[in-house]
Amino acid sequence: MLRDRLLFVKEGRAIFISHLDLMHTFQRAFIRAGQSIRYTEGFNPHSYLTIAIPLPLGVESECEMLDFELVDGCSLDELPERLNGKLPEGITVLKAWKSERKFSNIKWLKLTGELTFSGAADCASKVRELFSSESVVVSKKTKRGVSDIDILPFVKDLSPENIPEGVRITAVVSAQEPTISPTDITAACETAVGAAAQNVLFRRLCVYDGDMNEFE
Amino acid sequence: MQINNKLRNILPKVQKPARYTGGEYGQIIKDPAACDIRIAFCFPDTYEIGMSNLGMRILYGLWNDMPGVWCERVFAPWGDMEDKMREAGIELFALESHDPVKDFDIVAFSLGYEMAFSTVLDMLDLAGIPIRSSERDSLRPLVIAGGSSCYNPEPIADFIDLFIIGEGEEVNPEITELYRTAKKENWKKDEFLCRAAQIKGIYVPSLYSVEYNDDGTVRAITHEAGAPAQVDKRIILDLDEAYMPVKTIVPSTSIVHDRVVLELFRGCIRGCRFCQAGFIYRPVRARSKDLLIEAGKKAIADSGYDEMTLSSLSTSDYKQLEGLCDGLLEWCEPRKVSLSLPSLRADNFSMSITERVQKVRKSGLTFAPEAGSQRLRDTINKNVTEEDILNTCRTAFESGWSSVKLYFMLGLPTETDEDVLAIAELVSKVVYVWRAHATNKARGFHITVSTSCFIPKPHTPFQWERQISMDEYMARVALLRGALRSKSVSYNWHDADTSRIEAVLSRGDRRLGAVIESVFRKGGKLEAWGEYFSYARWEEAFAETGLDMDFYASRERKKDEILPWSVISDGVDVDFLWSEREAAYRGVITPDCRHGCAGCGASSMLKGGVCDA
Repeated sequence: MLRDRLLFVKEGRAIFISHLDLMHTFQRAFIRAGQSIRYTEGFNPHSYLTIAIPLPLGVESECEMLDFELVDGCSLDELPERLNGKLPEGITVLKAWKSERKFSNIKWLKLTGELTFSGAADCASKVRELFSSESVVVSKKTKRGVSDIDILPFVKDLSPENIPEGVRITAVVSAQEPTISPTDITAACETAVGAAAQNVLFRRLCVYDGDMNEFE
Repeated sequence: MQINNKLRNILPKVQKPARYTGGEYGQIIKDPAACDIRIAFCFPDTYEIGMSNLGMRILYGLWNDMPGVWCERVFAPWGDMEDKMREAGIELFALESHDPVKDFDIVAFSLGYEMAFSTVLDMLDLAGIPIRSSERDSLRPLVIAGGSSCYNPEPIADFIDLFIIGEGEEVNPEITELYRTAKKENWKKDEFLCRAAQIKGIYVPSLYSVEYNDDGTVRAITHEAGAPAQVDKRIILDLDEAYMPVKTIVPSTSIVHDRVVLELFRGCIRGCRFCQAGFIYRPVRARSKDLLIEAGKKAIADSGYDEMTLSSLSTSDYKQLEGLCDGLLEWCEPRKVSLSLPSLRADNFSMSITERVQKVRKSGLTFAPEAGSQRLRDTINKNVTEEDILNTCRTAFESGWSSVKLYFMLGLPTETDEDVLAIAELVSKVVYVWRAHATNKARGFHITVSTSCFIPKPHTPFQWERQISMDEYMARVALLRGALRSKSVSYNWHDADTSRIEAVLSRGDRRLGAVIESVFRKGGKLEAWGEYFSYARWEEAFAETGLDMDFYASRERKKDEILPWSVISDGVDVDFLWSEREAAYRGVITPDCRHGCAGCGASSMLKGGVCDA
């Protein structure tokens, strides 16, 4: 089944727009751009919009995907230009296309983050050491409460790099089942360095399928 | 823009962080280097409340239309955010640029509700601006205020440099241009304020001094040479020619009123004697329906909103309402945009209008009879009969509506227990009408009765009245509650203590400045919210300053008493207000303006002197 899909960036001031509010925002942006998308029937119609992997509040991304169904409007090629300029600051549509692949095929995502630990030295080595050990356990809040999980099997290609007063992490993490979030990576780094992080900013770079092919 | 580190660190730890970031679609971003005037438009309540405010939408667009002027928005942070900001050393900033408010040229507060006064002080303090005018020597920042609460500006006269009385579409640019000249030519603040006082509609409190009698009433209000003896409000004569916002900021988050607002007309023909808005917005001036239809279409297309509301004090009195609804619905229906009409009267309620409007989405019906007995409705000049109310409910129920909200006040002048019980009798008659006429009984039925405590407001015929005490109010609430028996009826009543403080502030004088400051220093802010309001704080503040709440709220004013707000004029003659009060006590109604001019005086503000009633 072919789906209309678009790829967008969420960064800058838009990082605190919640998942639900993001849906409303896109719904209005389509209207502002003069594009008709499919709505549900019934008393309180809402638009058919699905986001691939919900992005936590405060995290940037350049690989967000949104499924919709264009009922009337321009071609998918022209859509990004029509939508950009009708969106809040920090949200930019990069491209739109028809895809056959379901979001459930997304298995991995690549992210990068910068964390500062004032006064701490050589954080990169400490982080590298922790991720070279047998396990990396963090407390994770799930629907059932708080539990400890070992995230090591779900993190690969982790490369830490020293930056002034902190560390830059780039890693490929499990996107779904389980989802390894920037909070989990931050918690692990804090354990490694032995201090709380001050400034933290993560950015999702890319999503992949199970075979590490870029997902589209 | 990237949010700075300090702010980005605290945002994940507070509720609804997106309300502090800015960046919304429709926000105005200008190049600061190309602007010589920076205005911080401060709404003394939360983002969600402020962004729903029509005045804010109008003035934001109006000011930003001026070349070289950049107007940005500032809202009151919620308690959790304010605590984190103070902890992190982040001063109050404007949403668009994130620049600190204290660096702006003009800090402008929108005052629509007296309970916001302590929030004004809190925002000034959080901005790092001295709260008292006397402590601010330089021209910058100039702290100004506008809005309906400015019709009695006295309680916060010590904190605001100048007040704008009336409608801002013309006077706001005038005062801004004067400021621009002052800044360029390096005027002293005093010099600027004296010149500003010459502009019609500008009230500069520091040019007036107040003396008090031993009994606490005002002995005299004296003005300095050059300041006007009376400040007349500004109005727009032709609403069709005036600035009207079409493009607005569309929040990325949900707010109270997520919709396009079309302002149909200003003023009101009804003359209900308790209603301040009905008097201060006179004379009646309407917009033409064709202009409104075009504006409505553009606003929906530009915003992407799927709801539009027609706004005025009494929408069913708009002369071209049917034509307007037809024109809008023709466009709205195929686009699934719903149209809502609040502020409908129960006497000329037209089912045909409401049916068409509710075709897209159905919402509840609300009416405000205000008093339960005809006698009391006549006294307050709310000329709605029981027959009107019941006929309206009947048509509504026949058309399938199954819920109705009815608003009343307790504590109106001349009210007796019989009048209170008459509310319950009226409600039971409405229930009976439902039983007899509802077409869709399976849906069940619900009436919500809501009572607020009457607050005497300045510039109304009841500005001399006393407010009943909290005990008296609660006794009447209990009486009504006992009489409302039906399971289909729920009853909500406004808090007695907030109503009392609002009554104190509404008719307060300058001495209350010390009380408000004391309340703020004790942590008072966001007092329209139950989470923050504390009656005890006000009691302490009054005790400290030696002033008495009863003096302000519960005291009947004498006819010849100099009222603290007497310098401010809304165009309606005080003699007219007094004669309306006398008519109230004789139980005599004054027909609405459309039935014949009652001579309130406001028409003299119009060219040619005839009002659009």
